[in-house]
Amino acid sequence: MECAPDVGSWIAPTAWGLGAGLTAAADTALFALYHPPLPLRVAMVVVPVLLSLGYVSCVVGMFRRVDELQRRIQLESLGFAFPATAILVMTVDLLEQAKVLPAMHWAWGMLVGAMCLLWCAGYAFASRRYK
Amino acid sequence: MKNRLRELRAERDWSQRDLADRLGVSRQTINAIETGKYDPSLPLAFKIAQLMGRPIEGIFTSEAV
Repeated sequence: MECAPDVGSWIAPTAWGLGAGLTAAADTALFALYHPPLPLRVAMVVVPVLLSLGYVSCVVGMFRRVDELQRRIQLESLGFAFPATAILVMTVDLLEQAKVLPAMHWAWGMLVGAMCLLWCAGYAFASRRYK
Repeated sequence: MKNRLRELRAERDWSQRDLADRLGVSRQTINAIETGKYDPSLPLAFKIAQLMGRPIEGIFTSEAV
């Protein structure tokens, strides 16, 4: 049983996550450039989805291997990141509608990025509580 | 919840790392339990009690009592 996730245990999920993000970004760029035939378009969509599922599987496996305090810390950090992302998106959207902010047209990449940053921030806060 | 984990560990001359390794948890977990920042799960409390050779109530006590 792993006690805490070390740097090495983050390599696999990071690789899956980066792979999913890069292939999805490549898909977005390619779809803007040309219109491939339907089977190819479906395949292009399936690849990042499969890589994302690999990422989820790695992260869930890692959470199952860590000890109970680490699981608590992760739960608290995700419990912070999930609503904080929702509040951030709602706030930005309302500020855009109020014409306080220029329309940014949040893409999924910005949303995922914000969620990851807030997850890291939540982990730092939760981890400090138990030091 | 209060506990006597630090005292019992010191009696055995174990470091937090030694105890963590014997229990299969992180050193941070032992430190958090000893400082009262984290209450262990029942299975971990039983494991600690078994390792220390004492009943659970001999190690952990409710602050309400």
